[in-house]
Amino acid sequence: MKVIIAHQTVINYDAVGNDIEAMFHLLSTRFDCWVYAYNQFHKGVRYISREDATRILDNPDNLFIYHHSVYWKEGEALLSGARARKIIRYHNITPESFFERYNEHHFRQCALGREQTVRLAISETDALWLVDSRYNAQDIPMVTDSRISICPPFNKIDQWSSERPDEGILKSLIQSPEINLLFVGRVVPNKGHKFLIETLRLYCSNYDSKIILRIIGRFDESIEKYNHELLSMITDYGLKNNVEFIGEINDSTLMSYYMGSDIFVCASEHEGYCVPIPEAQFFQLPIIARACAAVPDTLGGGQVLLGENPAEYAAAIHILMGKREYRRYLRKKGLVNYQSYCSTEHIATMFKDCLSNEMGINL
Amino acid sequence: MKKDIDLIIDSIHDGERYQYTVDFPEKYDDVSLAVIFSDIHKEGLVIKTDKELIMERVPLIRIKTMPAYLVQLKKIAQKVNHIAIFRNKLIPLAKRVLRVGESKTTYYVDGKELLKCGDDEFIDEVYRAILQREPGEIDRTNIQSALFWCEASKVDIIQHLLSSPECAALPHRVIVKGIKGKKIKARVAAKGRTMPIIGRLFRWIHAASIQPRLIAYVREAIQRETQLEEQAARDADMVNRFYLRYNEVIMQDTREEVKKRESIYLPYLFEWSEGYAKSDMIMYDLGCGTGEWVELLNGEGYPVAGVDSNNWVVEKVKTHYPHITIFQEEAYAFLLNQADNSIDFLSAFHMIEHIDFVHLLKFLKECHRVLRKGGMLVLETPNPQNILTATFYFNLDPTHLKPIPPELLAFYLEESGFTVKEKLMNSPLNFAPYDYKSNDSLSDIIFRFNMEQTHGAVAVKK
Repeated sequence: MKVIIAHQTVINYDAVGNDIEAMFHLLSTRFDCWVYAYNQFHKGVRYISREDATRILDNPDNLFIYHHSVYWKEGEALLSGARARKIIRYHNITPESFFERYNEHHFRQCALGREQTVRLAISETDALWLVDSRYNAQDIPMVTDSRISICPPFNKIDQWSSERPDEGILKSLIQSPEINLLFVGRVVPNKGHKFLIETLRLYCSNYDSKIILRIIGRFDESIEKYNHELLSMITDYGLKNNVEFIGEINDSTLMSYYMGSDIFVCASEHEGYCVPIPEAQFFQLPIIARACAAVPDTLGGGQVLLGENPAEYAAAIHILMGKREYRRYLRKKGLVNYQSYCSTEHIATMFKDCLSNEMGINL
Repeated sequence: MKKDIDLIIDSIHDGERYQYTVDFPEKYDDVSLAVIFSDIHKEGLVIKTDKELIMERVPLIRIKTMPAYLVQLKKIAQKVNHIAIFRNKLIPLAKRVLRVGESKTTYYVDGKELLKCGDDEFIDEVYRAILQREPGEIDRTNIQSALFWCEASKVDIIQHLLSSPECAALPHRVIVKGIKGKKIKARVAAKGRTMPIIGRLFRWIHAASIQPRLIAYVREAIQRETQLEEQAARDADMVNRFYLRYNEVIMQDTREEVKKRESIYLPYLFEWSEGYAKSDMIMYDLGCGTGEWVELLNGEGYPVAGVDSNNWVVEKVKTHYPHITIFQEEAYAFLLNQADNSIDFLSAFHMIEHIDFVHLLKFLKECHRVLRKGGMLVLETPNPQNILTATFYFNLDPTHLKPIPPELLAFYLEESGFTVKEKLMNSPLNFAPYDYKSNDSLSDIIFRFNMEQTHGAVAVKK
């Protein structure tokens, strides 16, 4: 049996890229496996041309794992023309409404992507849908439960966390008198940055201004209006000294922030999985998260999940920083969640079980 | 208690987050999620959420008008001003003692708050507080550099602005309070730097203190450069892949068709190389693409190698046509690495229309340098004399820049030190087959749609 894994773009330091890389290596232990992508930026996998991929996918004995996270016309054509057994790995596509006010291209691409999801769900009647979370399955109600399997995306936390953290940053964080809040995620409208800033305002005005929120993630220059709104909000609230945008950093620096911060906060309005949550749990950061989209699924039990009132988040920060035993409780529960549900070993087992039970493929 | 970084790292990997605060009695067993949520909920009810609650900055400037007693004293002074002893001695003395200037108001700036600002914010605030304006871009850049490299401290900047002519010209006085100690320290440090032995010590300490910044600066610059290079490499890879697909999908001529078209140049090669051992020749085809011309010449016994910058094309040639020798390099960069008069033959088919004017002149100059005297250069490019080529087919390739007419190509070559042996037209389009007649005014126009799509030049180095 030969296996083709496909996605529009395969890139390092990306959740989908990591998922593809791990699947590729796992499947390559037993089968001939290749990756087909339009943009081939990841160096850790073996690529194949369209013609060769089409030839392999014409064989019903082979396997096609199609990763769906963006609108990809060519991918849909490849999928519809393939006679091989199909798995559609659905990573979710951000609802277009988040970009409506900010960028027409993103809006259109998200809309097309979500329409494509519905089309694939209707047309690919034999495909198995392997979704990152229970939340993602809600986007495909027309697919029967028997054809849906839930398996978190592979991550590389075990690998990159074995590096040495940046000691300078780590020292400065643990020795600083401020409370260090952390959020990891791109600066895009669905990640809830405005909510976090509002929370920070309430904390500073009710308790103490010795608190810093660090946001690690790159800005998207094509949504300048959103970026401007965020920065204006920070200035208007007088929080310029309390918010730091860190941008893109390497693994070593990211480790330092995870290790040296006090609380991980997540106020995303839409997530298909949210990889930073298991990362924070691995590094035993207490988490305060918004009960929205796939976040509750990913977070697991015994964690602080709050609603839509930013005052509660400010209160939660105050309570957790005042009680060490609360933080310790949340840290332990988070670590248990990571080890039982998000570790590479566990995900590999789930993936293998899915292949075996649903497709009769044994690894 | 010593904070051990290794202990922290190990403890996290062992599953026990290191606590660097004083140990409290363990209350873990009394904790549950319900208790935590209950506490959060209770606390949440007492939080004030008024929109007006924003972080108030402590005002940096307080404006103080002349105190009432000074106003009274001023009135008295005006009344006794005509008496010489008061005018010449007592009133000036009183002004010095009471620090009363001509201005009616004094702006007191909170220096301690000013010094708390981060570097960028400090620059904005110090200009607003002292000079009542925003800093200019040059001011900002200079101060940022001075602060970063520790050439000046914030106190120095404050002093500099206070003593500036612009500040003196303001209608009020500006006094920065709360930095007296720092001013003295700065003055002592400045004095110390000029002393013979202590000064050297100061300078060493200063140099040592900026080492970490220098290293961080260089590291950041290297990282930025690396990121830019990586991004440029990703962009180039994306473009190369696109161009391979473009050639496969849009330009669908078979290898045989391409070879047949390009074979019109062969007689010139045969004539030029007569009497020479082909196997000894050094020959390259620049921008060779998938190597049809290279393959054609190899078939005639010429040891031509191809050069192309597109990694995807090179990979394809190496995989599917392993008998073709090909190097992955940009054409101009390739020529720069060749010695003078070291090459017998160069060709470039449909390459020069991708290069801008200045680079094309440099490219031809390099071709001239590397070719031996009498060496041959063959160039072919789309023919803009054909109307459809000029208006449509030329623009079908997104990487084309400007079409080069035959006359201009010949001029380029002559000016670059070549003799043009032959100008050729190639590959007629035959868009609208027509029976041309000598008196027919339409003939010329129709011909412009049907004529050759490409033109080339065979030149030798003078």
